[in-house]
Amino acid sequence: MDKRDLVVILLIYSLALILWSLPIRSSPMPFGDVDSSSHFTQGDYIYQSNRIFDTFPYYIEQSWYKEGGRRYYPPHFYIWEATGQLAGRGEIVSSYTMILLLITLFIVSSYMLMRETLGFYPSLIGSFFLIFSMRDIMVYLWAQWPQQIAFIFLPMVLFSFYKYTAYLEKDKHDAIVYLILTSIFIAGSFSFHPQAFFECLLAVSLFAIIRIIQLKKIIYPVKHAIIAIALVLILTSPFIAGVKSYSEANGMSLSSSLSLTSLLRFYPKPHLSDSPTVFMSSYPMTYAGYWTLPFVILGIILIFLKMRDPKYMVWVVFFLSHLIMIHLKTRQFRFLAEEAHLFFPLFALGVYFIISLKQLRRFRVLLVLLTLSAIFVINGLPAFNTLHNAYSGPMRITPQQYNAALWMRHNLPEKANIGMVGPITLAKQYWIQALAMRNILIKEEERSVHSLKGFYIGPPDYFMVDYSDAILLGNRKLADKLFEFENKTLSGEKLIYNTKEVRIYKLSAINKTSNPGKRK
Amino acid sequence: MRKNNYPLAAVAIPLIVLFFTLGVKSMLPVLFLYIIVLPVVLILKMFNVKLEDGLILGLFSSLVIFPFLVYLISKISNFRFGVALSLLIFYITLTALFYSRKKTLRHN
Repeated sequence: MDKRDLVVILLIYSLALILWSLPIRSSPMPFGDVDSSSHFTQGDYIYQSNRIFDTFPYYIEQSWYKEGGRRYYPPHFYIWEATGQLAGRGEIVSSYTMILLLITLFIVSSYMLMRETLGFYPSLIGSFFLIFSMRDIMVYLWAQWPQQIAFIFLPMVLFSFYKYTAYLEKDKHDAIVYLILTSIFIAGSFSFHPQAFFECLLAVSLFAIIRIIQLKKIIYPVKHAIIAIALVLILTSPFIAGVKSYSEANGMSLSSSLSLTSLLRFYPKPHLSDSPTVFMSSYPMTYAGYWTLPFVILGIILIFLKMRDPKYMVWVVFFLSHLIMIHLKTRQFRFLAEEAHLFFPLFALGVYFIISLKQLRRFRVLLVLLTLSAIFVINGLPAFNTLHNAYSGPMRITPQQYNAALWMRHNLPEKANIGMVGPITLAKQYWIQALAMRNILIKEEERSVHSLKGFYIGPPDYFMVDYSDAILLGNRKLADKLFEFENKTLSGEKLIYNTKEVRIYKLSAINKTSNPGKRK
Repeated sequence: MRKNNYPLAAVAIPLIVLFFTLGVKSMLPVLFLYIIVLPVVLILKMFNVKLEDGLILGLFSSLVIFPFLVYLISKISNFRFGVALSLLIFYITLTALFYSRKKTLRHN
């Protein structure tokens, strides 16, 4: 990279910040699907309580991680969220700004790898296209933030290991710096979300093996390998036990996920049962239509044809490790979330190959500008609309729900169990819980399931009736239903929070003995 | 613009963009991030990593090392102290490396 690259990549990154910040700018209330509140609240809890927890606080354990009280994932993402809040004096927007800054870094890391291996114009085209990557945008809006941030390290791991190998072959002393950076980035992929770690390890191993075969000699000193492994272990060891316990609890051991048979066959369709399939399986939705496919295929052919050159071998390794990962038996769609980081650079390589043909070479700059314009026109508008309209209107918590949640946080006991009716989506109910930092018994069927499993913590001590969604939607029927429920079930209970839209009751001992699953 | 000012101008771009899009409050996390990343970038420069590469490499390695230190320190104290001491460790390391290299150069 030179000075021109630094300006270009920061301009592209800034354009991404402008576009991706649309959901933050459109409302001061937090956004995200069901996972979002659990990710937000862990960082928020660190900031509010001024301590980093290894065992979950009561409300988090009861609501999201019922299998056990120990935190599974390394805390790095949550520490960054809390650091954002610390810098922004506790504002929700500061936490979201930090998430935005981190999650859009995949554009920077991809540029870094492309620039080093493919040159200036392919990296310009590829990283510009990545701004509008619908798959990344959707994962950002669904709020699988730690996983997506972990994937920003894969291009960096490949970049630094490629540089390390290049320096080693030239017999330079500076090689060790890039080895240390490789180890730090591998540890980083583990620390944000462990699944990216396996792909990083696989990619580095494949690169090393193929390079050794190509050169017919072992170029990597054993001393270096020991240093690298030791550094990764130092940076990850405090968190390995948590990840291991989670994997075991969910039957996700590496041996059960990987088998030769799963690698040697194509699945009819990736296992996508717990993800909205269309954004993960639809090529045209992610890559701006089928017109990009020939260029991606051309890019794949080119990297394999030129793979004797380590610059192209990096991409072969990226391609192969991705292919292996999406053939795992479990959680394949999670790896599809980073597919665009591979396909957009391959598209750029294919396009630039055509542009660089002898007959077209003198129009090179013009054709690159035309490609960028085409990307902007075709992919820019859907990306803008998706981000601009994300979680609009009643899809976010209302200011009244937000105020009630803050009131609960400051006025109810830490181990209070709160029943709730009124909020229209599950995500909003979880958001109220996250902001209140109190356990809210959200779903009736969930309560009975927990009861069977022995996790059930008893009937609510408090009950919140929320009319704000019904008022916002102008839904008279819902408001009447809530009113009827309130009069029938909660009359005689002590009203402790009373606004026009939200009421919270403290339940008496008699009411608490009834089964909350049948309260309605 | 003088050649040396390019990296400085470049890193100001996201700050200006965030100021105009999300307001002054959103600039504080970015400024804080810059303060965290700066010593790592300078340390990498001492090890002959090009400044342009070092800015990005420093940023990504800070994403891993800083929370790791904060976590370890917070285990024996609290989060805010963890942040402050981790930052201090970054700058102390930078200063120590700077003087040890200066000494080595003088010695040579």
